[in-house]
Amino acid sequence: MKKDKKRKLMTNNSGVVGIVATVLLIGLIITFVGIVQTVHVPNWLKQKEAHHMNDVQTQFTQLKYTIDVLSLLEEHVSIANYITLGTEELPVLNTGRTYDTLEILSNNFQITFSNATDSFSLTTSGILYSSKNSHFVDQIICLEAGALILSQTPSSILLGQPLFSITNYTNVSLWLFDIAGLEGKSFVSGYGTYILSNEFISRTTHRITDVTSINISTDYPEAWGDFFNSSAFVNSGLTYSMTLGNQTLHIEYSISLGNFDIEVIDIHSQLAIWRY
Amino acid sequence: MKTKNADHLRTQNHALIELSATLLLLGLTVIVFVFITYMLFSAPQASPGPVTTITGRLVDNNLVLEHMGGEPISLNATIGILFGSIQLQIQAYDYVDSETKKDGLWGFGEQVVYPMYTHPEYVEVSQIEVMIINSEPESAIMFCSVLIDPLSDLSVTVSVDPESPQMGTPVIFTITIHNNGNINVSGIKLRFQLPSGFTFVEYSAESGSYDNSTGIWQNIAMIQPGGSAVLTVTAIVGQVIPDELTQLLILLDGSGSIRKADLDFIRNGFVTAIGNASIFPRGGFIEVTVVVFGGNAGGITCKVVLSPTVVTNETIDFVLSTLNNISTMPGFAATSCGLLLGCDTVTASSIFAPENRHVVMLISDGKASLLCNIDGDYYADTGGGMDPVTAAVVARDYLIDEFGMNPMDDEIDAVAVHVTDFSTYTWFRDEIVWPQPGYTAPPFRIDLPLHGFVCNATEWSDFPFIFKSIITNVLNRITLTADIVQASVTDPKVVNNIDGVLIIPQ
Repeated sequence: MKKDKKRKLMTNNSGVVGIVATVLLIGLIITFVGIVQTVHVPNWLKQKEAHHMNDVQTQFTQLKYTIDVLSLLEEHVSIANYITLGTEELPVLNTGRTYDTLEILSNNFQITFSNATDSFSLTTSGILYSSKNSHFVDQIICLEAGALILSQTPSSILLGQPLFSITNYTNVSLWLFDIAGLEGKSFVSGYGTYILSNEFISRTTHRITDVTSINISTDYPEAWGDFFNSSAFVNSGLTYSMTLGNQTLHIEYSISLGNFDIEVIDIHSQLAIWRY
Repeated sequence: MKTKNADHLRTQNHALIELSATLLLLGLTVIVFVFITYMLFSAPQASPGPVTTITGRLVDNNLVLEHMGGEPISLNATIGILFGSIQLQIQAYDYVDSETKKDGLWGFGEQVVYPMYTHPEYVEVSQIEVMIINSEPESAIMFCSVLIDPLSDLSVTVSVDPESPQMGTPVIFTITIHNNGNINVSGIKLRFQLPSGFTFVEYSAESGSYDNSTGIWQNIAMIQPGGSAVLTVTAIVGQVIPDELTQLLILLDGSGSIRKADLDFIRNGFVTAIGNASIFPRGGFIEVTVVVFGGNAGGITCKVVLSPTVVTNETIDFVLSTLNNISTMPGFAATSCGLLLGCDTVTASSIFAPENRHVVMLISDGKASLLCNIDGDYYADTGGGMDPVTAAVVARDYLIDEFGMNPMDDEIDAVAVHVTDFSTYTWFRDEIVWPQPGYTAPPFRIDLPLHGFVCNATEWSDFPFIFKSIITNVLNRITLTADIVQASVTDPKVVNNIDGVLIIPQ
């Protein structure tokens, strides 16, 4: 009887060793997975989202190029550009998908050129991409009146300037784009690659002479300040003062600009889904 | 007994095998775990620090490092700058503005600006290597090479004393070069050529030498930021023969408001001024064209009274007799039509070239009231949404483009006769004359670039005197310019590298 008990205990002990080994193994795996999930996955996702932001910047650069070329050619054709919203989830871990928004804005930008007796005012619409990142900082990329702007609230920088030229030191020609969206096809939100079809509609020239001040109403005054502070303006010898407000930019020229030719380009854009 | 021993031995063996297997499994697991841990935690990571985009560039001899997106980094970040044999290590905090310092972070759109001009030797190398190291966690943020393109900002000013010198008397020109930039500039050469009729007397300069035959001032000592170099040149004023052809276009408003008596004043003014050889040279350097405009809708609106004619002793009689027989036109002031016909007539001249000097003189007693579109004919148009005043400005711009006018030589001036409405006067001054901004003359300005002017004649009877003074000013003034032709450092702001004065010998 005593011997039977002893044998049973020895058999049980061998069972305990297996359980302990399994528990240890599971513990190790859980620890490993936990460390990966809490330390490395966020870093990977941050990198992935940052990379996606760069991709969208490149796509917007192509979009600006398309619209610039359309305005120069003045051909009534529709050219498509692709914008990718959101990032894919990580393989296996199945986490990290994000969803962004793309919108054709309405009357988001206003510029007024004034001389001593007259003024010319223009209101335009633009295209705005807004990220909804989980780990990387959120960014806004906006194509506004021909300027490509990158914003991280509350500031903004200029990625691409509008078409312009300065001749005879003070004669300025500036091309401003008014991008109108098609009703019902001017907003998308989600994940996937979307088509943005752009068509040239018209080009009209407005001239105002002896411009002494420019007033801009925009969400991105810093970026427009960068543009009007660019070396082309500075090296042309123009002297001016610039006042930056919360959503305004005011430029006062001490010597009036000779002629200010404003080329207004009307573009129609619409959004469509290419794939999910 | 034997069976019991065998059982015991089997049980012991079983335990040993299980123990060995477990230990082996544990050992393997630990090895795999250690390996994976090493791979994940110890192997170099691509970018364990903040994900940030920073770009480097040189702006006005400052190294500008700008945060172009991504996460902010600490202002304790270290920046390594390497150029030539010089290695610098700076803290971002020391080179940002006070606004950036508030939150202690180098955030989106904020800049670190390091003054490279404090190391004058940096202009000797071709590029700067820059490295940014984040402080917490310590990681490399950026490596980049910035190409060196040192920039200067030189400017030149010229003044003359006296401003209206007598023929045959000395005049002193003072030419000053300023260094408005932030780095030293050497190797400057400046050109200041005296006109051929002037007699060089002497020069004085703080440094360098002036050669009056070539007009080059060179070997100027290095000018430090904020510094300047001065040259004075003394010369005797003489008769100057123009070195370029001048195409003079006179546009006369001959519309219905011009009376017979007014026409006499106009004829007299033309003949008196153009017939005076002392103010209107006859050496074959001036071509004159006269166009009269005025008409009614659907009819002829303008005509060429005097085709492009180079004024010489041989042609002067023909010119004067033609001008003495000018007649008016009926109807309204078709200013745009006159501008277009005048433009096309002058550009069709055999001697036309954009390099010639072009002077346009508009004589009118009011705003445009009839219009011509740029459609190849000079018949009055209905407008198509454009009013006559705007059409005149459009035609004026067309003329500027076709002539290839430049503000150092060419001009459009106006004589506003019997104008009582201030808005008409400002229209001439602010929208017609060129270069802008226009001004009221006399007095005539002597600075360059030129500015178009408007002369007011209260009555047509004042016209002969005013026309003569304009011709005297426009055709007899002498332009002297000084321009910087060379420097050791690129100057992108060329607009202030040239200056000049106009003098009208009495």
